[in-house]
Amino acid sequence: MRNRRKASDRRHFAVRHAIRSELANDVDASPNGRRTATKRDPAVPVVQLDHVTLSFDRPILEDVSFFAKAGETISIVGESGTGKSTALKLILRLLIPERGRVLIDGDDITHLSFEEALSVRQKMGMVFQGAALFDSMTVFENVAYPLREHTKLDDDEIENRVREKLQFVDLEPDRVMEQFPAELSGGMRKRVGIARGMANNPEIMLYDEPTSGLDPLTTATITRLIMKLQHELGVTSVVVSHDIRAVFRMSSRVAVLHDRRIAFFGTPEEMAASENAYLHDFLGGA
Amino acid sequence: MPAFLTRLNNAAKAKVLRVQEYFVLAGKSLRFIFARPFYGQDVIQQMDEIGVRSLGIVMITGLFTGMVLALQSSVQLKTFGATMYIGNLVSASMIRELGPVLAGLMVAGRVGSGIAAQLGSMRVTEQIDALNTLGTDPIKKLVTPRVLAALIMLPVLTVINDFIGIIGGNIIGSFVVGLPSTQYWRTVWDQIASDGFTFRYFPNDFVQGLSKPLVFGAIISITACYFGLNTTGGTEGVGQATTKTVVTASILILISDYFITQLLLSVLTYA
Repeated sequence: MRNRRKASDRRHFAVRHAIRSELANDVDASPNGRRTATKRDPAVPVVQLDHVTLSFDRPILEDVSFFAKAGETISIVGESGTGKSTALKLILRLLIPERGRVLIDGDDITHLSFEEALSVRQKMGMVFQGAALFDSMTVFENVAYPLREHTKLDDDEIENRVREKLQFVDLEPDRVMEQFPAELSGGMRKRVGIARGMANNPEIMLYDEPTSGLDPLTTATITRLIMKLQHELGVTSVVVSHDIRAVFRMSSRVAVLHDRRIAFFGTPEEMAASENAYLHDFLGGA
Repeated sequence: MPAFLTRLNNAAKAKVLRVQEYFVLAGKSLRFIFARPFYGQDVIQQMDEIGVRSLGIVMITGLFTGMVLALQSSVQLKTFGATMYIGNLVSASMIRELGPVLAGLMVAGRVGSGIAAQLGSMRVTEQIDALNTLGTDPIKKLVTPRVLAALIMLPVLTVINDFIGIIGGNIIGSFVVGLPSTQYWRTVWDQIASDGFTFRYFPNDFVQGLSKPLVFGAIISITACYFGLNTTGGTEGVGQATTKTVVTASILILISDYFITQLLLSVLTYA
């Protein structure tokens, strides 16, 4: 019964994915290459965790629910080891929940095969804590990587796209394109990571501690870039962060993880006004 | 169930799971050789890394192994006045056994540890996760090119190793034992021809000598990729992965060598 349901879920996903791909074909030809042609019901969250429970050797997440609507930036905050990065891995379907569902554009991705999950991930861009740039490749090759893998753009188009993305993150293409990640500063690596994440014009951007280990000025630059992506390109973002000031600046909503559960999910204003003792302590300590 | 039995049960299950994962990785990496997308550029790069850059150590190993074989055998054969058979002994030993095994062990040490360290570093710096999130299957992109390159280059290295080893024997035969080169090479060919042929023209010794490096190439690359991809615990974990790779691949090469030899001796018809 369970297997039959999984198979029907996969067929359902495959049909919807094919229709979306058809729609998205018009899109890449649009002037800015954004995938905006996909008709989306604004009431349906773009990213949603629905009563998700996950454990490895010990419980990690219990009955966790939150969502992000189109164009919103939501932040996940909490103490270290509360499962914030795990939540991102669930959205990317690098992990599968024991109970509950993870929905992308209203589609349940929980039971997808590995290959189907790879195609869902193409809708997303991810910025890792340490940038995770491929150290055997130059900056150009890093940013061009998703374009070479998943598009039929020719070399000139790829170079133009790479230059455009590097300029978007305030890097001078001619200066950095031929450099290797080891030759860049921490802030530059993060910015190249963002450029690579957005190279394929994803609908969703995920950030894992985008400002950790950076000085206050670079932190402000990265925060501004995340906001720029939201405002100028309408990208839906999920940010895992410890930086409460940055979270308050850029988030439409904040999810606070505490003791494996969601302790709070609401706007930054609601969070600041909350009487919840844990939130009070958390913000006081931040 | 008593606590120690539960622990034993869990430990046994974990071991079986690792073996299962190893074979799943092996199966996938071999299957993906025939599946799109093909990473031809990566295969060529790995052939250079595994093959061309290993040439030096493999040639040195082959040369000195052939020389020492000739030297040792000349002492024994002299007792029976049979030093003219040095060529038979060196060629049979090199082509059937020492060439494939020594090339395998050298490549396991040089390339296996390199692959494990590279993939291990990629794992701990989240580059493998980055590949996944960019919609690329890490096995297709990282493992299959390495396995294919090893499958192609190990037999090539083995042939070179065999040839250099036999030349090493010739050097000792000529300069130490006083055996004319023509006689040495005639006995080398006599040895190869005397063991019979497969499909009429292909010497049985070559069947043995070339089927082993294929298996060794698969063992080295898959073992290195398995330990590399499963690295945990930061830079210390990378060190452990390289050590485990060299030890495991070397042991598997020696064990599989025995079984391949046993199998081939029962299948091939020797004269």
